[in-house]
Amino acid sequence: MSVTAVSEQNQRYASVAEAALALAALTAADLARLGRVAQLRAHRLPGVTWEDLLNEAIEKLLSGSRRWPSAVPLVVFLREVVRSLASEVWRKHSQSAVVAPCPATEDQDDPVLQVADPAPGPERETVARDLLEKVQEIFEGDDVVRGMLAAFAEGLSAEEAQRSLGISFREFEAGRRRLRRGIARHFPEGLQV
Amino acid sequence: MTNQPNTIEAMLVTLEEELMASSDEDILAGPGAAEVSQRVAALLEKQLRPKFNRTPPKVHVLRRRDRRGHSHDRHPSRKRQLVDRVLVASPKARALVEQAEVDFMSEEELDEVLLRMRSLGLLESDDTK
Repeated sequence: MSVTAVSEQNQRYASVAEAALALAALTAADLARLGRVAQLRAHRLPGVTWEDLLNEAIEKLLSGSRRWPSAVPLVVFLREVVRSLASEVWRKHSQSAVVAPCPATEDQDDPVLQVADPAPGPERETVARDLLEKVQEIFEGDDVVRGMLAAFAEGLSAEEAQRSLGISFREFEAGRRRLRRGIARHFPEGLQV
Repeated sequence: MTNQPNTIEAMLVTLEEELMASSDEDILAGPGAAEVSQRVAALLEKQLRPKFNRTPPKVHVLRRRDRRGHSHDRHPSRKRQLVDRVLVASPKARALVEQAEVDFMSEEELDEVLLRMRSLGLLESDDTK
């Protein structure tokens, strides 16, 4: 186990021993947050469960292959690792989906033609739409929160979302609190694998 | 709504951020939250167990006297004493390793730390002998 912390260009990275101690000190609420984030990212992820994602993230941290910058909270860092692992699975999946159905042509061996389409692909689009619908269901009857969700799904920033909904900053913040509370307390059960 | 990669990502990031910012009370009140928390704890325990297989003996074990009537805690290894001394004296050494970590280190890990301290000029080469 690496025991020493490393500093690079004013960025301090925790040692593996420090990471292990920090992991052991996570609270039940932090563990639930990590689990929820992994469930969100693993939603309909082909061949991978949320526990696989988390397990691999922890393994990468403890093996030292992903270094944890000490300035970043551990839970946030693990969320980023889970996110990148899930993206990698989607990327590989879309690559295989693009490559596999190609009819045999004279260009078949050209590696340039085998690069995956950077767009999310119809499968992931469906997953995203399904996810949004599940979350929208939690806020049945709350037009502000549903509008916020739709705006975020369009890629709008908070400020843009507030403007497009035509509500005041206070109304927007109140809606955001309801959104936060609702997601945490009524996390869509259908997401669980 | 989801015809660009960044829109899917934006929505997921929003949901994640709300989960991260939620209060402890709210996140633990969700359906199956306690079970999720326990399953994550089990994953962690499985991976952490090998890392902590040198857990320090309990205090009552440390205080037990050996056959010659000496208490074990009166004789910390010379290497550990040396590392402790340098840690007290040098902020540079404290950037290298923390006192809490030293308490968990094996003899081999102490050797590694002493070697690094020596390479930084925090120790004379004779000190580690």
